[in-house]
Amino acid sequence: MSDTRAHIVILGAGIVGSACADVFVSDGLRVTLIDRSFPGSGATAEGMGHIVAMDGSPEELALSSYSRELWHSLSGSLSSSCEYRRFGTIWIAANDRHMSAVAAKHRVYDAIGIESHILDPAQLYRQEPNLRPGLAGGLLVPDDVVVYPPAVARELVDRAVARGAAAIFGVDVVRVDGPTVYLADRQEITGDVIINALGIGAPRISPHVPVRPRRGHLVITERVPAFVHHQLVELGYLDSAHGTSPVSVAFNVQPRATGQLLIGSSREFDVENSTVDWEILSRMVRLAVDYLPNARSLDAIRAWTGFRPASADGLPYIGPDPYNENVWLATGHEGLGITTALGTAHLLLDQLRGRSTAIPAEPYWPARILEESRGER
Amino acid sequence: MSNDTRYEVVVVGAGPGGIAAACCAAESGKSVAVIDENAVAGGQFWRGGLSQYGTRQASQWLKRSQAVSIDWLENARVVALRSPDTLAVCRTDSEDVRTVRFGRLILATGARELFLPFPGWTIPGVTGVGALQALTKSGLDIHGKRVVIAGSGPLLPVVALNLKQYGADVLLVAEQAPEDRVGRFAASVGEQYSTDTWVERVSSNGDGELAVDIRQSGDSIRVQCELLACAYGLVPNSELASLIGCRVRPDATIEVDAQQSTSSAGVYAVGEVTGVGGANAAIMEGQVAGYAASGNTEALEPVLAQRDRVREITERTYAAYALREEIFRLAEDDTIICRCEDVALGSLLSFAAGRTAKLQTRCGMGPCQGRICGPITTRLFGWSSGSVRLPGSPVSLGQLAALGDR
Ligand SMILES: Cc1cc2nc3c(=O)[nH]c(=O)nc-3n(C[C@H](O)[C@H](O)[C@H](O)COP(=O)(O)OP(=O)(O)OC[C@H]3O[C@@H](n4cnc5c(N)ncnc54)[C@H](O)[C@@H]3O)c2cc1C
Ligand SMILES: Cc1cc2nc3c(=O)[nH]c(=O)nc-3n(C[C@H](O)[C@H](O)[C@H](O)COP(=O)(O)OP(=O)(O)OC[C@H]3O[C@@H](n4cnc5c(N)ncnc54)[C@H](O)[C@@H]3O)c2cc1C
Repeated sequence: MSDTRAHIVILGAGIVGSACADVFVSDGLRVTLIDRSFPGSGATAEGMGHIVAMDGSPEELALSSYSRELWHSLSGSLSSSCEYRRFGTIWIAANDRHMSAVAAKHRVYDAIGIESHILDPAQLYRQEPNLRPGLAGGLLVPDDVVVYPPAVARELVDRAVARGAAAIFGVDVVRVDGPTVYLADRQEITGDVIINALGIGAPRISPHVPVRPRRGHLVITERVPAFVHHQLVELGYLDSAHGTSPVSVAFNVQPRATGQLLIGSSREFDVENSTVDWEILSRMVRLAVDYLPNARSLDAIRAWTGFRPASADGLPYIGPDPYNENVWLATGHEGLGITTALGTAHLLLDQLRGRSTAIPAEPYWPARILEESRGER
Repeated sequence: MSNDTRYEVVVVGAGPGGIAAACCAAESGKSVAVIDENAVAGGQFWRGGLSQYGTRQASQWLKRSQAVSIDWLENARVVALRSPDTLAVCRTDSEDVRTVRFGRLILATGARELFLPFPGWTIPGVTGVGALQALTKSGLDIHGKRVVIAGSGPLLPVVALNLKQYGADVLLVAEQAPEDRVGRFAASVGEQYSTDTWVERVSSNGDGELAVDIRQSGDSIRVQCELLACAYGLVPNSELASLIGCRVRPDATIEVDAQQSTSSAGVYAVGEVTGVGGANAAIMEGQVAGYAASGNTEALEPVLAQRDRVREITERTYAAYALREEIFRLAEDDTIICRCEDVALGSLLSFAAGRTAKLQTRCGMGPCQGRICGPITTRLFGWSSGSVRLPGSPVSLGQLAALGDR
């Protein structure tokens, strides 16, 4: 994109659209950001905000570790309401089999320069005394982060608007035709490029894009400062995140800046309603109190569900939409969209500008899925 | 997890409304359970138990309740619907949980006090009006304490008299409503009762002494005291009804029809939670629901008309206490609105909708789940209270885990 003042219309002000707005405006592009509600009100409000280097696949690790660095750089300019904390993650090994997975994970991180430390049981309990006895150890990743996502989204949008971005909130995007975006209030907005960052709403505008809502449950407790000091995740988490079983539950507990514990996480496909499911909720909570027995007496003050925008193959869609030359996609971030939003924004910007990208961009191109499904028709 | 016994009629709340409903259902031959979070049945009106009160009304309901078989589940809080006909119940005095199945459900969950913010309303020494009475009944020594009672409603003079009996030095009962509406209540308290009067601000000088700035018929006065009890009426406890799916109005009252039926089939609501004030009305509504839920049309007929009469009287009484505009404008930018999360008025002003504000400031996201600040932001900003999230009240993780364990 040689025209430095090109007009980019971003659909969706979740963490992904907000990050795009901030990054594009900083680079001198003209931006219009549109959302049916307010910034950060979708999946971004419902999730956990764990910024984590995730090694489900080399591509996932590349994007998440690149994004994590971008978060580290961004942190200096975030206000306290974003609750940015470099709590780090401890991947917990319950048994010896997990412990060998710890060693493998350590090697993977090491290879791309991510700091991590293998913990023996004594070291694990020194870090986290509330964990149940008898665990085999863990892997500490000190530079993983926790943020409060809706506050970040709002702040990124405020910054973008302060530097000249236009924002249209409270109006539905109805359809896109060529370079024109049609809104429910009959406004028509034309852009040089349209970014579809509508999360689980993306298929409404780009019907050929396979994004499935993947429901998750969370529970938040009363304030118990310093009960845990890191985001604690069981090593089995990756099986849960990347498996295809209809319902999976994993131990995943996050310390909030407020001193509360945010307890996850569950994954279900093909449920649309947001009603809390007792069976899943209690399985998840049981797992949490199984790892943290002293948490049994803590008060749960609120439980809810949220929907992750899941792609067909576990990687987000970032790049040109092969079906509409005016549209670029930025969706399908599943359970990692807070983390990968910043990397997504930079990958898009560099490609729009025709610059080389910091990590290879092709693995995330929507064409990988869409060309395939096109062929099938 | 203990068994899920089934009752034909289950009543939640053992105040006057719930007790009357349970008696009428049991007298109609139904199997009945009453679930209440307190150690003893009685609710706000008969706190501590019916037997503690010498009134004719109390002894009548004590007798009726003892003449039938009712299962009283005490120290037990209903936190959610476990399935469409099953309540999730947590003990308040232990980690035990159980479920209770129902044929018909009667919600008699009462109300809590309405607080409205003014500078200083969260400092130590400032309490609710009913709350101070409850504290006194359960042993707080207020003998010789200088007390100011303020706010609005028929509870003010009742509590004033009661605290006097306990030896408190009630300096002033400040009723915000004008004299021509509520004047007749003045007589019962005496010269301390003052209409057209409200608290504008309170501050503490540190050694237990409060300075209360009061607007009285256009003038500002300052009263020194040790305790300030302040409340502006009641807010229905309708969170459980919302979780169940009953239609609830913006002012938090549960919608009911002539037979006390809510919008959910088989679910009734009675008493303060429907917005009708006072124990007498609660008792009448309880009887209607008790008979209606039991299909006892013969007994139902006569109580319907009685209830309508009592309702009419109480509605007229309560209309007199409509809140004046000035009350909603007392808070300043640094006045706390959400006590749990320390959110001040100033940080809420830039938000157009409650959900945005909630998400961004955590207003209403603390342990009380907006029970105190929700009614405030509804009145100050017109924000809707939003959806109620499970659990209806805080439960331990251990209990939450056990509740799904079936
Ligand atoms: C339980 C749970 C836990 C999670 N934990 C983590 C975690 O720890 N770390 C992590 O990195 N990620 C986590 N995630 C994932 C993360 O929350 C999502 O990947 C991310 O929020 C997706 O952002 P988004 O901007 O794509 O979508 P959204 O935030 O949903 O934004 C899409 C926006 O588009 C708007 N919109 C949709 N349709 C239309 C339309 N037609 N017109 C106008 N506007 C429209 C919506 O209002 C919304 O604001 C979690 C998710 C869940 C559910
Ligand atoms: C603090 C306070 C003090 C009051 N004092 C007086 C007074 O002295 N004199 C007077 O005339 N009126 C008083 N009132 C007004 C009083 O509310 C009504 O007159 C009358 O008690 C209403 O009866 P009710 O049956 O509707 O509800 P209540 O008497 O309020 O009874 C409701 C009961 O349900 C219980 N409950 C609620 N939710 C649940 C749940 N989820 N699980 C289990 N139990 C639950 C409550 O703990 C309570 O015991 C007071 C009100 C309040 C809030």
